[in-house]
Amino acid sequence: MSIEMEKISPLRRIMQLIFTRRRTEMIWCYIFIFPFVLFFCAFTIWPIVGTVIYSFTHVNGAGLIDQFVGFKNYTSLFSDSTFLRSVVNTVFFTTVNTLIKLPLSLFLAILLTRHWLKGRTFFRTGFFLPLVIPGAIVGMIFTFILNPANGALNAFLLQLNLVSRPINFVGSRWLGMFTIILVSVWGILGQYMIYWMAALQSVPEEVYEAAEIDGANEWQKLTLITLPIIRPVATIILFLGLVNGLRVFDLVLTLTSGGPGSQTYVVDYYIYARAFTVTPPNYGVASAASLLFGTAALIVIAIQGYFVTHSQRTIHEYGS
Amino acid sequence: MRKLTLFTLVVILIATSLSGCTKEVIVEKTVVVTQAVEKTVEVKQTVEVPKTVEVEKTVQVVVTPTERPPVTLKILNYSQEQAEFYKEVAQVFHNQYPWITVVWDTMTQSDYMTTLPLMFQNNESPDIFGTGWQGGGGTSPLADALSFGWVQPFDETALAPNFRDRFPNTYKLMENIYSKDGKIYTIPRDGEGPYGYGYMWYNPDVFIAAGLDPEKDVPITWDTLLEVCRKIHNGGKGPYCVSIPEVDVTQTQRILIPFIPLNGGGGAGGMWQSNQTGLFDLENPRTIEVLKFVRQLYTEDLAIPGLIDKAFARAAIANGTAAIYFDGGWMPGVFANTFKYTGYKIALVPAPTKDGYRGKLGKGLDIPAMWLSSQSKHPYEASLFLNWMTEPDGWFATQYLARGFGFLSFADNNRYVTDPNSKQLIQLAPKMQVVAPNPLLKCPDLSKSQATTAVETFHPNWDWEVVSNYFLNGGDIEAMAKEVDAKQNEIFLKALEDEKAAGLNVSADCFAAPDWDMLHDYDYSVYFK
Repeated sequence: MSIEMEKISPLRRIMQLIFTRRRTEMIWCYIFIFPFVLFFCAFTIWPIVGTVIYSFTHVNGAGLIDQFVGFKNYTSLFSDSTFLRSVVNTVFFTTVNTLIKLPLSLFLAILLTRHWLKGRTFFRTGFFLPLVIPGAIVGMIFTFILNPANGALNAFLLQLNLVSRPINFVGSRWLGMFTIILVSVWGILGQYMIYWMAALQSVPEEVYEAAEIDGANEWQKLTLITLPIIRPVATIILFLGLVNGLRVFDLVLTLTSGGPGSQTYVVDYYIYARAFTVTPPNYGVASAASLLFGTAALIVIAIQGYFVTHSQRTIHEYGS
Repeated sequence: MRKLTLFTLVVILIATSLSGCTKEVIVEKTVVVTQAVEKTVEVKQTVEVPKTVEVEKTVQVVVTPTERPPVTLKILNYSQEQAEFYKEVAQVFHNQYPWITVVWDTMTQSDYMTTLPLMFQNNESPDIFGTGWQGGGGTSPLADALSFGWVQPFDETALAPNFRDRFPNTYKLMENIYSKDGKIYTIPRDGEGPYGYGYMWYNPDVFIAAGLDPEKDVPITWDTLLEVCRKIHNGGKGPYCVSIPEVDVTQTQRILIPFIPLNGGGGAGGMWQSNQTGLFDLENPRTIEVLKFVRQLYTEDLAIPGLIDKAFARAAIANGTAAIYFDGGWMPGVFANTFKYTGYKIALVPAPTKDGYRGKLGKGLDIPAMWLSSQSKHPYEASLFLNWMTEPDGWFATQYLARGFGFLSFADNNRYVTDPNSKQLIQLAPKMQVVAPNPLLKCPDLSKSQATTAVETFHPNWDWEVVSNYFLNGGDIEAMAKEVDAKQNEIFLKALEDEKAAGLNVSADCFAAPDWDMLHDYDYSVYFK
């Protein structure tokens, strides 16, 4: 053996000491991660840094930073009634949207996992199909359907004498927001139905069988078995619903364009309007709004993270 | 070594007139021979032809050498109904200047407003762009464009020597509005006269179906408009009467820009500013009257409900969903090219009472419309294109007018417009337009002022938002207007004070013209004393 060692060159020996198998694997990991990191820095980190910089400056029409204005952009937001209204609208949308879509999708998921239901595949496909259509296209289609002048829905309601004059579904603030919520629920229901169906599959069949033997009815099975067991996953789904609700934009853009006036502005639409629909573009205020709102969303996500961690511990406990 | 470029334009016009047994043939022949210099030359030549009457015509042509590298010029604006025409424009220009390829894109107006600033920020702006930014101050588009850093001066070596004379309603492309430090930065395209707002477009078939005569029963006052509308709508059994687009400010203005001034609202500073004080004045009683009148159209279900855009509003006239629509002198081209609808009729916007208009639509200098981008690497070719485009008797002018797209500030509209509807606009326009005072001429330092920009930046399109919401949902418009005026004037006056302290000769009074009655032309000679 000593003769073999004598045959290995010093350089090779050094390389062997440096590049151990573990280190080699690590290097390959970093090489594969590097493209993602590069894109992440370019398209996530850098824009965030840019947003922070812009939020403290005034930008001219050519998109160049004009002057440093300190916190003026932030303070102007709190005196801007349109921004405050957009925050209220966003919270309203998120809350009501979540309160409707989660129970409804859970109900559908439970229904579609019943063995006695015929045509489950057909119904599942039907409820999932709206998800395939992009949100902006959904908004445009509903613009035609809901049009008070010649839309299908008003024509239907008038034909059945359910209303005496057409309803302007997007003509006022709260009715407009509610319309956006319902259209959003229609579009996203399938996605949450899938989430719930996955959650329901984690409930052991034996528990249901045991409950049946004990004489439990459907309602008791739902409230005493299903819901408690899927509660940890429900927490995750709830926060997913909330975070997705905060991002509403495409439906507002296509259904109401924030109107009438600015009555149905949401925060994302406010940012878009200030940055891209006025001349000169007001990047400073838009960036400040983005950061403020992003921070609020981050807080929601952090709370979600806490509850998710707690839920995962609970799942683990159930498992053991 | 430059080669000689020989351009020959021969136009032969033969007109025959019967006069006894002799025929007189008029031949108009224009021959232009250029020399091998990069200068504009004047050439006239008389050619004798037996039994003809020769008419000499002198044409000024810019000569350029042919050995230039190929250039692609990008042009962008938002008149989508003219998209096919622009392709022809590009081809005709290319035939004459083979090394230049023009790519002329259009998009919707709202997309254009969003896209253009982004193009500049990405260094991808077109070489030539049409004007059209809203909420940028408004007093001086040139001052705005310069402050944005979007424009560069035209290359005057590519322009004809009499270029400034082509635009009669611009005082030779006057300083601070079209030019700066003697250099031309922008030119108008559309003639301010017949092209602007102030017309009522209606579907006569809807009138007939309601038992009305489309000629005799045309509403001429607000009261008669309501009567006609009630008959047309017939308690909901008939179509809607008025279609009013409301999706955004560029749409709502179509009904308000004529109605407010014609009722005596607004003034020298624009629709939202007082003619007496120059301050923001949404709460002007005359303006409030108009807003309440329009609101009445909604409450009585006479206007198409909902947030509709201009495409829907225009289509409603074409397909009979509504009877009446208010918009500008570009509608003949829009109706014909976009909606294939030519059965419409035109009238003036109804007056408030039978006593007639309380004010008239102020037309000032022709609006700056075509700009050369600061990022363009081909200023010579771009200027050459604009020179070619604005030839008063050139291909662009004659074809644009003949096809009914509108009116041009650099052409003889009366001569070349053939569409009878467009000709009707030329007759109607003087009845509701007057020359308005120009704040920029009263106070030249306004070109450096950002006071109106400050107001707009605080809450963009606030007036329009309030008005649009009021139309659909009602409310206390006086209170809303008061709130808007109070805040806007606070910002406006503070900005003006700061600018005055910095040495600019500006004030709210710049936007006022209390000596103007809004019914007669303002005497521009006061600006040149």
